[in-house]
Amino acid sequence: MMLLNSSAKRLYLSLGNVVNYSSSKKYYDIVITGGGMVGCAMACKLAKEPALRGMSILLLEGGTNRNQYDFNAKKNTLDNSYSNRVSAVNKSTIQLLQSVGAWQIISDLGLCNAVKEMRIWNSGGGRSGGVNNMLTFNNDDDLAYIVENDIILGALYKQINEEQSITVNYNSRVNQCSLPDSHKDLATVKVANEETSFETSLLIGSDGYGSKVRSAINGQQYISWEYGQRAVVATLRIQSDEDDIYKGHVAWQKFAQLGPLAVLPLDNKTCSLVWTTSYEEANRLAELNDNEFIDALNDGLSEEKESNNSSLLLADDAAGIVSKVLNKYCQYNNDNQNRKIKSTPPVVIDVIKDSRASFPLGFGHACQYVGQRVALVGDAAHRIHPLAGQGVNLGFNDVIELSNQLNHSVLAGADIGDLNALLNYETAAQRHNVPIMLGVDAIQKIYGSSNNIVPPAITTLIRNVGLSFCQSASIIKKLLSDKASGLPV
Amino acid sequence: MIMFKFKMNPIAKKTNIANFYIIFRSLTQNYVKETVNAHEVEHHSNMKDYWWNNNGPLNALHSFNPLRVSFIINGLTNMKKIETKNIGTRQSLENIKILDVGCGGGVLTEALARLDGHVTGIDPSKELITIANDHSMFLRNKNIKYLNESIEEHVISNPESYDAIVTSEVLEHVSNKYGFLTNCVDCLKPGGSLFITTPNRTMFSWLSVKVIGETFNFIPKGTHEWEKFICPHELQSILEINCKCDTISINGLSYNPFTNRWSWTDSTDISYAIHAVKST
Repeated sequence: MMLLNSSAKRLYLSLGNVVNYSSSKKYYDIVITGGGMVGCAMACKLAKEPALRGMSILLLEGGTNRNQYDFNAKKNTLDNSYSNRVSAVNKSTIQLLQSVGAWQIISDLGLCNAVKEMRIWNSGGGRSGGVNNMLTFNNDDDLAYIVENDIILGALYKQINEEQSITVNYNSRVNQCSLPDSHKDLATVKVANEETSFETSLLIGSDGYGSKVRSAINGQQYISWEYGQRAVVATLRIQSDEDDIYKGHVAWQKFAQLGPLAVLPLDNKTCSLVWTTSYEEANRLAELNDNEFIDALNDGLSEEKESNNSSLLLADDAAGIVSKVLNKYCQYNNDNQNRKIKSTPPVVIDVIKDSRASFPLGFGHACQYVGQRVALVGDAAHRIHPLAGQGVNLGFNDVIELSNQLNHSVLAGADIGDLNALLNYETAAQRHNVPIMLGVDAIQKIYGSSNNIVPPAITTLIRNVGLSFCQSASIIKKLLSDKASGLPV
Repeated sequence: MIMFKFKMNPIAKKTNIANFYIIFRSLTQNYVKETVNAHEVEHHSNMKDYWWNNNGPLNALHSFNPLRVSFIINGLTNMKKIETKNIGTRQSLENIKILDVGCGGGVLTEALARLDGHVTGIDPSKELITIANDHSMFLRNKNIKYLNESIEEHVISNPESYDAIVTSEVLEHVSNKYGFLTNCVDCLKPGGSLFITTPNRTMFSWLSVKVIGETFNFIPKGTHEWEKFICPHELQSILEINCKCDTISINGLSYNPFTNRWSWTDSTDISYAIHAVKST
């Protein structure tokens, strides 16, 4: 009787599955929501993982079909038109993109630009013109590469289209997802404006900082705050400096009073701007015409008006003395210290038409990256200030960690949505992300905002001494650049 | 029986105490014909409600899977049982017949089936076989079969029919280890592999498994009887002398309850895994 009962139940269940298939529920082994850079890299990486070969992957993208990205057109146009959204990808990200075959596409077409030197300085440089407190990073290897987001996406979609196991559904915004309480059930995703819903063994949420998947996780706590700042982006033409040995490969970052201002090189003459500033200032900048914007930007990059404030000058002089003292004691490991740094800051001569835009900035971190049959990657799990250019790199690092863990656990015979493997991913990813996020947030707090509690002279002093100290102490400098490279140190 | 033991004493005194203990144990154990103990089966049957609960009382058993599966796969790879094209893929156990003796709810059995092994799980507990059967519904198109029988029943109809036999965390619950192991080996094809994981009988294992493990609920209370644990050298001698097997490897295992992770160690003091091959 028992046997009969159980075989009847088995039949019923298998029938149930068949019914599910034919009706409005479709099963995929893995469903990835959000086809941004991180989501696409996730799909590619999982499809290339030998242990996961043959698993069906569904990528749900809210936007329209963009797999027609034309690389040749991009290459052939003489007047390079760059998009205003770029990323600084670090070495670990490049390794990931190489492993999925996307980096080869990008580098073969020369659509990436190496950053060989970074020059970071603080506002309120005073008489010294900011040379006192310049922090420079330069490596024999390239520090990072500046690539347009569209190029990364285009290369990833090209790889995705070659993979048989990946299905891409465009115009599919996730409407609702229900996660199971135990591993015995599957996760279900409903797409807006569509009848069908999808069942999956593993749901990967890469749907950005307003993630629907994240809020579906039971007991989720999302820590977040807004910086009260907007990032103004634009593509710029700068005066190229023929004497500079790193011409076209220098990234500048200035910690201005209202927030950091970064100029990232796209080629010899073209740069991408990320200007973090207050809401009011961002709105004011948006109102300006291109010529006025260029003037405002050059003013922002060069010394500011308040530098004749005596207390600031004093702070600058103090910082100058500290940096001289530090230099004296650390000279032996800083032979490039005395190299004359020319043309600080860059001179902007033009802004590309219609390249100006702005977006709000915030901090966010999900306490739980995973749940039963669900994992979050990229901005869905964490959102940071762009001042260190680490946001997308953290996202790509999640991809590396998650695919590693899934690979291991599947090879050990576990289910693809096995909670133990996901928890291992959470531990590894958070161990990597949280220190970087807190570090970036601390830099933002110290350098990026003006407050009324501490007198500006003191903050200037702290900021300048901090920069000088990092510049002189090669250990700290190495630590910072190693951390930013994303590779295990 | 008491008389018999007294007669044994003078002989035992000539050798050392440890030897006497082994003889004593093997003699008393041989009186238990059945390899199955009713109260052990009952105890484990009571766990049926949370057997498959990942975060439940048996989470140590779940997190043990990656290590023991890789132990089995590595062992079979070394014995050249795994086809070259399948190494390092999800199909690594393709066409390999495996018997999981004392499969319980099927935590390990399913993992092996997911790697495309032809797996049979046997367990004397009817309840556990039922939940194992129910749970195996989630595997689509996998070769998995559960039978509610003991090894001595199974060997009658399946002599020399498996490429590998796995008995993980089972031997410590069996009184008649000699009978259990000979029956297991009888089910193996010549050249087939036997994989066993079990705790050692040392002071450390008593402290960690009985005292710490059961006090702090890393292991359900009353799961283990330390007296029934077996040392690696005892197990090795039964396998090599009585079962005509060659021991390939003995590896120490350790468990960190705080991270819920298992790892290999040099020391077999707490728990160990043994791989033996039936001679051809």
